Amino acid sequence: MKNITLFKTKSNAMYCHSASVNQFLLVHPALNHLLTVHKQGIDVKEYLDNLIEDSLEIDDLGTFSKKELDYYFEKYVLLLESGYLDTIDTGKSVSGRLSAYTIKSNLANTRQITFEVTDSCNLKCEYCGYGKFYNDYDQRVGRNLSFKRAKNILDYLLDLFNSPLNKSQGRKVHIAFYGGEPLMNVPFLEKIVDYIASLRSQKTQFSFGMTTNAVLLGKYMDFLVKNDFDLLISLDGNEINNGYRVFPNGSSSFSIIYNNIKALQEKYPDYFDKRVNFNSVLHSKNSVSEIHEFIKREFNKIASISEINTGSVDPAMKEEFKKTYRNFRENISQLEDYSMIEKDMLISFPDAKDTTSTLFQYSGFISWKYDNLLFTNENEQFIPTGTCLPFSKKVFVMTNGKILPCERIGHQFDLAYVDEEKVDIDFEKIAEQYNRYYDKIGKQCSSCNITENCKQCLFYLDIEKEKPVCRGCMSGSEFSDYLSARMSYLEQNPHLYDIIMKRMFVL
Amino acid sequence: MKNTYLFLEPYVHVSLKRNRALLYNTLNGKALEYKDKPNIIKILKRLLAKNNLFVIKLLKRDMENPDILSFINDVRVLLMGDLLDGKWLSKKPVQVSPGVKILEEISKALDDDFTLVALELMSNINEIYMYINDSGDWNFNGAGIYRHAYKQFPCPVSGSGKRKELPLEYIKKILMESEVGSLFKVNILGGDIFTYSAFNELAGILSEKQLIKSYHVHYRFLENNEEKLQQLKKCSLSEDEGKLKWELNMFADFPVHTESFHSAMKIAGDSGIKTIVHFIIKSDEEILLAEELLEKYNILDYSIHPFYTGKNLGFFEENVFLNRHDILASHPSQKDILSRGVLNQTNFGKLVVFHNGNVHANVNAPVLGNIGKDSLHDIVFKELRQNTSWKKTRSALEPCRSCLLQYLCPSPSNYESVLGRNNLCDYFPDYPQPVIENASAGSHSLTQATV
Repeated sequence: MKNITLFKTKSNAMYCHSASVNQFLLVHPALNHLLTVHKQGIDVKEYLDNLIEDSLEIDDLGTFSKKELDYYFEKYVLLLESGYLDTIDTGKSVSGRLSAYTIKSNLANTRQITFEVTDSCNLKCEYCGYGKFYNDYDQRVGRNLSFKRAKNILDYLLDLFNSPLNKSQGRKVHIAFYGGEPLMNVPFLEKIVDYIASLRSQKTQFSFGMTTNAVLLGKYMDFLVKNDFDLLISLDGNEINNGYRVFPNGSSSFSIIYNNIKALQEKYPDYFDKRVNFNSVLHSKNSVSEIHEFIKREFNKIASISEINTGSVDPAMKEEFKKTYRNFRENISQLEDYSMIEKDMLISFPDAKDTTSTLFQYSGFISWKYDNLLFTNENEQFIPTGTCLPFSKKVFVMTNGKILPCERIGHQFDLAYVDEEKVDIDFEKIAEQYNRYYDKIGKQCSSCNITENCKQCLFYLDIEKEKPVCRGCMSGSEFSDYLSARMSYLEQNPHLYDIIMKRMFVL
Repeated sequence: MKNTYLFLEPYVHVSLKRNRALLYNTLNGKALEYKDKPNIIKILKRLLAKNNLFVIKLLKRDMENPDILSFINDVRVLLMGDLLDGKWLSKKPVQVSPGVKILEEISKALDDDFTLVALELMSNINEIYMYINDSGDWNFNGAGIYRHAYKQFPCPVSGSGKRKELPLEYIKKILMESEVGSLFKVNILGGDIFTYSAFNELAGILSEKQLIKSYHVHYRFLENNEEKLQQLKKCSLSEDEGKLKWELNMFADFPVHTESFHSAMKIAGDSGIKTIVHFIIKSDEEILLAEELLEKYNILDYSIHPFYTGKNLGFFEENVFLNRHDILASHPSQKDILSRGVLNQTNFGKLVVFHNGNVHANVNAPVLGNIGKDSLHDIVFKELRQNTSWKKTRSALEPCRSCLLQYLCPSPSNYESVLGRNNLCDYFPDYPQPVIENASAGSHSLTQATV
């Protein structure tokens, strides 16, 4: 159950979040006191009537006269009668479950198809998701994805995109190529690009993208530019920073990669400007500021910086992993002044990102669609955890034909299969699988205070255990601390609200 | 000087127009209005400034200004805002102030020339009106108003007598294509819907749908159609409650044919289908007649529709037009006010399909396409691009855009179209209005529709 959450920011300002109205209120200390009394289950009118003195001292915030308290009682009554203090049943709200129809509909409206083009790679990065630290992936055997398999799944999906299940008009579906290193299987890329060009779909258009280590960028840049690929280059900073990204023989890959990127930048400056971005992993050989400065200075780009994945780490490698891992927030906090980085990264800066998603979910002023303005779904049901609904964002197709909802989860969680003959997707079975997982974790979610804004993916939770545990589950006081941190950030960066309200869209 | 902060509550709506300001408390309906108070206007502008987020630090000169002090007192008394002593605050606090943000905003996409966008278009449709025919025996007194009434509110239409029908295949197509969206209600209108050649089949198809099925008929047409009503009920043998939502909307204007009305009320009552009685009213006298019938038959579910004849402006001014008191007394919620700034609350998400297959976002708006050859996707996309109706707000209309009550007023309705004016209020009595000779006819007369 949830009603109001009272919290104080770093600046000592007091706020209240109403779960029933889904709105934040800045509150006067006297009102905060009355709301605290209310939250304790005490009748506020009786409480005030029973005050012996004509004034009340509230913590260190001053003494308030009976007259002032009467004024705030009036405000309290207004909030009470307007439903701000109503309780909502969080247990009921996480009772949502999936149906086969929903999953098929998600697939018909998916936004991205990711092909694991090959599981071969020309580097052997220390922290690779298919490397020594992890144990939840299929063995890398130097296999390429066959064109036939890719064609089969594309044809299957195209039928869905052209069906009435597709709710959209003129959508762009992004075809992403992944690996291993995708540029080690360019013949496949060429065939797929040609095949997609030959497709005629009124409702759907396609764009291409790739994550690459850029070792072979020099050889294939013309092809990438010709087909207007969105390019995400993995680079962790300067030569020292990049020290974990090595060839199988252990030698540094930096100079080849750096020269390739520079060549691309020189030969195709417009394309570089519009289509190239950088993804950098934070670890023990670099820092946020080093990555940021290097990428900005050399390429005039703002790097997207991510931490090494902490999910599904092999227990035997935990100690070594810890030596490699670095936390973004901790790293930033060591800087005297990170305001420039924060300004450059804008919404992708972790605190800004978290505050943005908090405002999305809890401010009540942000709606996904127009009909959210017209209708209120009082019985809205959430699905437990923050796991993406299967295929709602993307479809991931592996070289061995496995189909997963995402490339970031263990390969044991495949949902479907494609081979040289057919596509095999059982929507009922997928729904059952997910609903089984939701049932397992749902009990814990029903007592969590952040279900509406949960970011936890259930595939990182040992979900096959009989009683998986989510460490992100928040009690009332933890939720209060969470909101305090978000609102403190907004107080320091009030311009963020205007950016969110005017510039952010989901298309 | 110690810091003192002034803030407004997030449930307060603020409207600023040049030298005038309105603050409206959406919780208790209280309002403050100011005119020619430059100091107060300045304070409000500071509060609304984008990075202030409804909170400002009061300056020394503010605290010495009697207008501002009076304003602060007004705001506090009406629970619209408050003061905070800054002595324990190390930073200016914020108020997450009201605004509307639609994450999947098509106009933004179009501004940026995103010609191809990923949008769940079909989720924007929530209600469809289908005029399945225009036939029926309309040879009775008073039938004339049904040639035009549909342009003012949804109701049956007396047709050309050419017996045109919306093909069942078209209806099936509409239902199939809208299935993926948020459609929750289908309205079936005519003519006399009971004369639709595939009536039973239509009833059967609709009975399988998880929708509210709303049938609209003139009371005269209920006579001799009891079986058809029972057919509606019989079709729905499902135990699924979602499929059992039927409504019968029965229309009557004055003078009412007493025997027929009595018979119709009995038939509707015996059918067991939820019946809503709609009275079409042209004068004060007819209001009284309607009240008599409401009492006589103990009618609890009903709706009153004023009808503009072109000659009863006085009746409209008396009974339909709003004044300041009416607008404030309607107590619009914050959600109402914010959404009226973005979309037309009455029309958004609705489509009207005529018997010739033409589809409109509103009966008074231009045609968007024909369901015989266009998909609903294309039609909805066209409406969101061209905005013939769904997002008609008072933001661009005069005199509304200059009015403090701009979004407290309901969204523009069909009455504004038919009366040929943007405001149905007495707030701008001097605002020039066109003279309408024959207001009840319009440019989209169904009886003149070409197939």
